[in-house]
Parts: sequence; C-alpha cells; structure tokens
Amino acid sequence: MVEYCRASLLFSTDYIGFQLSSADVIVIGGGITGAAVGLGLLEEGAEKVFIFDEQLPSQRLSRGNFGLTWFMCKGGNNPNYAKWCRMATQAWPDFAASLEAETGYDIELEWTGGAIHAFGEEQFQNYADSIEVVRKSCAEADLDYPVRMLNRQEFADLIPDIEIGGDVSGAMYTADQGHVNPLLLLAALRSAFQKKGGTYHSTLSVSNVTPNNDGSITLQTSRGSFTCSKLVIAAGHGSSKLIAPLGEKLHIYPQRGQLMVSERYRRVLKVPVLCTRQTPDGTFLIGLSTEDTALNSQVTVEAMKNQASNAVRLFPLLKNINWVRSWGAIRVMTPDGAPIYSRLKEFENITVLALHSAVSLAPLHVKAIAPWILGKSEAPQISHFSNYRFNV
Amino acid sequence: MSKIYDAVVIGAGPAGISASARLAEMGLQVIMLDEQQRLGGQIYRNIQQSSQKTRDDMGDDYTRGLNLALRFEKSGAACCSGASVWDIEPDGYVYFSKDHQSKQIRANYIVIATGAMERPVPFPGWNLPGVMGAGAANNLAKEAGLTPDCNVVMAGSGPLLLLEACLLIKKGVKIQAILETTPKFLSADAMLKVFSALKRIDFLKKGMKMVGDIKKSGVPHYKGITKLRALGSDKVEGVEAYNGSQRLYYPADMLLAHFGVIPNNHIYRLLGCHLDWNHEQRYWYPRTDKWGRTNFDTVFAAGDGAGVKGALAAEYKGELAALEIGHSLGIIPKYERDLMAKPIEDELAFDNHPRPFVDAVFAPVFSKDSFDDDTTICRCENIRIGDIRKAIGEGVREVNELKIVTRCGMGSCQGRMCGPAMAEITGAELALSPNEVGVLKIRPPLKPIPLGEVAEMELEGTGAGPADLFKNQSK
Amino acid sequence: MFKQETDQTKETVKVLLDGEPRELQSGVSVAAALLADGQIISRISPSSHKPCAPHCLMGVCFECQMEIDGVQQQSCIVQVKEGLKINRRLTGSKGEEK
Repeated sequence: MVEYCRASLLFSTDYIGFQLSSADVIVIGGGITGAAVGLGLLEEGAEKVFIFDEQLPSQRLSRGNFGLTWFMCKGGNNPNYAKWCRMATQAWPDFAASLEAETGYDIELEWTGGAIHAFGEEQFQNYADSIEVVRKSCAEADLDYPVRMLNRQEFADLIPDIEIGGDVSGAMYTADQGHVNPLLLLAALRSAFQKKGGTYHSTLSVSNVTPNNDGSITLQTSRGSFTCSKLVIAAGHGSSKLIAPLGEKLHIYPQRGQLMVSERYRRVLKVPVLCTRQTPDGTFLIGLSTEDTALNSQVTVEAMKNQASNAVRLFPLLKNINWVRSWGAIRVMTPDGAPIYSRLKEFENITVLALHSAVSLAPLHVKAIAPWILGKSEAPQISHFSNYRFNV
Repeated sequence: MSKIYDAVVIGAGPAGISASARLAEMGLQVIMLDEQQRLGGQIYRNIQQSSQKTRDDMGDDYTRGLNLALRFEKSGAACCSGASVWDIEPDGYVYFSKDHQSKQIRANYIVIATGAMERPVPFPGWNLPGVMGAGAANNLAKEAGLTPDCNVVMAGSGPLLLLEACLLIKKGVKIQAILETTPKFLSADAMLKVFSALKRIDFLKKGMKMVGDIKKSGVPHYKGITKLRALGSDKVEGVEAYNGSQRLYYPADMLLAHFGVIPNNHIYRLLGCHLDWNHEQRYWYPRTDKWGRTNFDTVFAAGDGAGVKGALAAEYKGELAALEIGHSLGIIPKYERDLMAKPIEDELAFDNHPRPFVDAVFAPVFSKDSFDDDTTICRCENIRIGDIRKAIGEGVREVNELKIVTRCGMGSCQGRMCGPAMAEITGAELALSPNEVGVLKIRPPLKPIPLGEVAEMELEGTGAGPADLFKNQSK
Repeated sequence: MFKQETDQTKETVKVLLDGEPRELQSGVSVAAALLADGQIISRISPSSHKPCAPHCLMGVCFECQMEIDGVQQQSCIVQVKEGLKINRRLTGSKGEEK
C-alpha cells in the first residue's frame, strides 16, 4: 500500500513537473513586444503561454522609448512599412481602451496629434519635401498621408499655452496620432497577460534552444528545462545569441537613444513634438539622440547638452525648468529601419521578432503577429519583414 | 576649461578637507568642491562661522573641525563652495553647477568624499511636516543656532539619536519621550563584540555617561518599541508606538526620527563602482583597497560615503587616499608613503575598536511586518508600500523594474529616500536579502539642473553634432 | 517651532516671500531662515497635493524645494541674500507666474 502511494506520488510530481514546465507557446522576452505577443496568443486561443523575462535594467528597452504612437515620417521608400505603421497607429485608441478596461491601468494615451518643429526656412523646406517622399510611398500602398506643414503662426495657434522660440519657422503636423506612457504600457500588458491565464516567469535566463525531432522545442534555462510546441524569440539584443547556434544570423545593430526628463510643471503642452513632449503628470520628456554605439547605455553630457539646447530653442520656457533624470536604452535597429518578423527556415515553429518602436506597433503585435504565429492568418505586410530580406 | 587638476575632491567634510590639505601640502594642484556654502560637511557644519555657544554645546567632537579647517586654509588647496556636482566620469571629468552656471573640469585623480545620510525608514506619517531627522535638528543648530521650542518626541535607533537627545536635554528642550526601536537586550553577536570595544574604555565611558544623563533627566525612554506612527493631518500632532502590548502616545509638534547612518552612495553608482553589501548595517558601499582606491584606478573613496566609521576615520581615510595619490603621481616614493601612512593606520585601528560593537548593538532589523501597505514610501511621487507589493505580485522582481512600473524612485530625490526601503520590502516579499533584488541605476544629473544651464555650458570639443532626427525614418 | 540661540548675532536682510516683503536671517540657508521665522511649510507636493516641510536639512530629501529666483532649488542649500525672490506657491494664487 505504501509502495503504491509512493509510486503515485512520484508519478503525480513528475506529472505536475511536466505540467509546470511545458507550454503550447513560450515567448522569450518580456518587454513590450514579448508581452504584447504573449497577450495576443492567449486572445487567439493558445492555451498555455509562458513569457520568460530577465528583468535586466540594461536590456529594458522601454526605458528609452519616447512614447510616441506615430506613423508620421515612417515608411518613406517602404510602402509596406508605411502601411504597417499606419495600421498600428489607427488601432491605438481602441487598443488602449480595452487594455485599460481589462487591467485598470491608465496608460495615459492622448490622441493629440504630433509635430516636428523646424528652425529656419531651409529646414522648413526640407521637411516639406520629405512629406512628398512619404506621401508617394503611401500612395503605392493605397494609403493617404494626412500630414502637412504648419507655418509659424499656425504652429503657435496649435499650442497656445506655451511660447515657441524665435527662430521656429513652423512644423510638420498631423492630427491622427498620439502619445502614451511606455512604462505603464509594459505594466498593463504584463498584467493583462497574467489575468488571461498566461504564466510570467521573471528573472529567468535561457541558455540553450534545442529543436527536437518530434517538432517540440526544449529550452535550457537558469531554472531548469522547459518544452513547448512553438517558440517566439523577442529578447531584444539577447535574441542573436539564442538563434546563432541554429545557424541563423539576426540582422540587427545597436543604436543608443538618450532622453532627459524634467521636474513637474503645470500642463502647457498637449501636442507631442518629436523631441519634446509633456506627460499628463507634468514632466517634460526631451530627446532624442540616435547614436551608433556598441551596447553601451551610458548617457553622455554632449548629448544632454544638444538635447537641452534644442529644447530650449524650441520652447524658451524650459530654460528655468530643472532636468531631473535621464534615461537611455539601446534600440534594436535593422538595416532598413523596418521590423523583423521571421519564421526560421529550418525550424518553422520558431519565430524571431526584432524591431524598434515597439510602443507604436504594439496593437499589431497583439492582433496580427500573434495569429500569424499560430498559423491562423497572415497580414500581407508580414512577409516583407523577414530576416532573410537582408541576405542579398 | 582646459586646465587639468592633479586632483578634484568632492565633498568638504572631514575626509574631503584632510585629503585636500594633504594633497596640497605635497604640492599638488587640488580643488575641493561642495554644494554647501561653507566647508565642514555635516559634522563640522558652519565650523568657521560658529558661535562660542554652539562650540560649547557641541563639544570637542565639533571643535576639532576648527583645526582641520585651519590646516586646509594653510595648505593652499582651493575651495569651491556652492558647487553642486551633477556628473562625473571615470576618466576624470567632473561637471558641476555654481552660481547658475555649469562647468566641466578635469583631474587626474578624483577623491569622492560625499559622506553619509540618515537611513530613510518609511513609517506611517513619516512625511508629515514636523517630522525630521535627529541629524537634521543638529544641522539646524550648527547652521543657524536653532533649538526646538515645542514638544518633541525622539524615535528610532542609533548612537546619533542618543547623542542628539543628550544635547537637547542639556539645552532644556521639552522632550516628551525617547522611543527606541533598538532591541531591549543585546544580541549574542553584540555581546561577543564587546571585547574589542573594551580596548576603548574612554569611548565606552562616554556612551555610559550619555545613557546615564538621559536616565537622570527623567525623560521616558523605551526600547524595543514597535508600530511607530506619526499622527496628524497637515502636520505632526502626536506620536504613537507600542511597548509590547502597551500603547504609548505623546502629543508632539516635532518628531525627530533617526534610524542610523548609511553612505550616500549615489555618486558611486553613477560612476559604476563595484559595490559591496554590509549585511549588519544594511547598506551598499564602494569596494576599495586600503588606500580607498575603487575599481577605477584614479577614483578614490574616503569618509562615511565609503563605509560609515565616523568623523575621525573619515579624516584618516582622506589622508591615506591623498598619500596614495601622491605616490601614484610620483611625488613621494613608496617608502615615504608607507612611513607617513603607518601612524595614520594605527590611529584608524585604534578608532575602530568600538565600531563592530556599536554596529552590532544598533543593527537594524526589518521584516514584512515593519512596513504597512498604506505608508508612503516614495515621498516625491506619492507611492504607497501597497503599490510596490502589488507590482511584486504581478511578477516584478527587481527594483529598477519596480521603479518603472510604479514610479517609485522617479522623483527629484532620485531614490535617495525610497531606495533602501524598496530593497528591504522587495527582499522581504521574495524571501531574499535586500542585496539580491538589484540596485537602482543612477544616471546624471546627480542634482536637478535647469535645462538652460545645460544648454549653455561649455564643453571641450567633442565633435558631437545635433541628433539626426530622421535617422530611423525613410530609409 | 524653533528658537534662536541667544548669543548668535541675528543680521537680517529683506527678501520677497510669496510676493510679500519679509526680513530673514542672513548668512544661513533659506530653509533654516524660514524655520527660524516660524514658516514651517516649504511647498505643496505636486504629487500628493499635501503640505511638505524640510526633513533631512542636508540636501537629500528635496522636501524643502521651492522656487527661488525663478528656479526650483533646495532651500537648505541656497543662502539667504538681499532681494531673493522666494515662491512657495502654497495657495497657487499668489506669487509670480513663470
């Protein structure tokens, strides 16, 4: 009798162990992209989904995201990317509303448009010309491009509560986009994922990915081994080392972005400008740098000075407002700036995702990338974002 | 500015002053920066302008600063007061703000002597007006000759609490009670360490006199109290605590709370110095060799900021750092350095005899029960302990992740006041030690700086142009 | 809340506090001078909207932060000087608007 009980206990422990360590889909990477995809997979009916997240501050790329949910300026010479960005932007308001309803997190989406300011006449003209480049690209994708130039007076009228600097000549502008809080977005996605039944494993590292003969995949991790039927790798700069042993090279490179945050000030700016926006709690975010550095997320005084200089030139009010902290992160950049969504040729049940602007594209990761991963549907743009497009 | 100093010393307390003086005495070009308007740090605050009465009240431990200041003046070291350092790079660049202008200077060696702070411990009502540190009250006495003139309660744990209590009793302040969280009985660990302390009978006598004076005063004095609360709506009106099951309550207009002293280590974290964890006193401090050299060859740490050992030890450590810098620069040979260091090291050892005992007696004890959900942990952003626990319940395991999800640590103080408690609470929830849940990343600016000031500062030519706003777009 | 030591020479200078002229002790920090003057509240917290008062008096806690000559500064570090313009914005209606 005792032997029987002991045997069944062993069996049930193994069984429980198996239950705890196997999933339908495992997502490696708990940043905004990983969390959005994880949520989408559950919404599409996947039963057991795990997310593995290291919570490494140096790899938390949302720390460097400016929070713009924009399509403006994206996709010149790349109609598929232009379309993709536009679809994402248009989906944002409903996406934010449902996320807030599900989780109770107010992710602070404001649909107040967006502007890129110009100094002087030459820059104004350059921006005007660039609008046409993107408009042409959009036309190829059967898209309009509701962006126009505002002259100085129109720009000032758009943001009446804050004075614009003397040599601001105008701005590129659209009303059809907004800005959001990237950090709260991450928290909300993680919360929604778990509320829907997903399992979130934090401070867990994957050292090895082994596809098995029976089609399943085994992962060696810092907390033992796991198996799954499908694997999604969305680990930012950690993705390369996971697929290299499988003979794959991920075409990404690091690009540092630094931004500055001010103390709180009463709300005077609601339209986000590319390098300066004010959040609902009153802090100004000032960016933004694009530096080709290696994986070094240290901030530099030169970049801070340039950003501060630009911001004060745009809004003289900022002169006496305190800079209180900086954030920096290393963007995952691709050679053409568009995302990588790629099924591995040899292992079709392994998908790798690598991109910047995970905030802007989040709604599509939930609604379009997740069903594509499950083989349920495929948006026509996705095939244009394969990792193999760089193999020429 | 193209001038390169031999050394920049950051902090004008005992460590900074003695390091600067010694460096200058060796003939080196040294500049000492401090955000305060006069040298002295906290312990010797305002020493050069102090009144006779203040010096009489504070005693020898304060007046020692006069000789130190005198030595500094004689040495020829430059003192740059009102200079708030906001960034520092290991290759010797230091950025500071003075008179509303930000400047960049460069030195071959940097001595960081930025000192310590009172350990911030959140308890209900700790952010009410009228609740201050015990050290804060001491600062006001030295800064402006101010003495509390209302009902005062003192609470917490640590030598400084008792020292300040004695001082205030001597001045006739109406102290309603002293509520110590220090355990009623010595731990076994503390009892073992008393042997080392016995080598300093003078120190022990001083301590016993202090305790005796408090007893003689008749001020109610409890130990091992729990559930400390400051009560009131817009300011503190009363203080409550429990002595076992007995409720204590004292009406008060001022609560002086003190829970020990910990290094103010922001600047070391900004630099990326390797840190070690002092488990007994629960703080991070920079890893250094016996001269105070950090993992960066040209960056030295001295004083309480490198590990809390008191004002004399700070002085000695400042000297040792200076000697090694002199040696590294080739100004003095090794045997000279060692000859001059020997008596200082002996003094340091002598000074340190009681320290293990004192640290053990006043070792803080924290658990889940020490922290209420409703208590504000982040004073700047108004975040409750319950908000932290909610995030931990959703899978957050690391304090930087906690910061981005809850905003705790995102305010002006940059986590100085909430960082230690974040680690204690996260550790307690996860059954981990506070040093196992990460440390808040620190980036410039160390102190808030107006954007206009940053925009206008002159930097050595670096060739970095304005950002290409379209770099990511339209490829 | 605080009283002055008797042998301290108390030189004062004229400043503007929340738009009104006030005599404050010179040669000390603004925070200390305000406490000496019985002005306990330093600011209204922008996050909790509750009154705050100096806490650490050594430049760590930022509770003493207030607008001095147009910039938010830690008043425990800034020295009292003749003609200083201090705005605590305790009611939100007085004092200069930026």
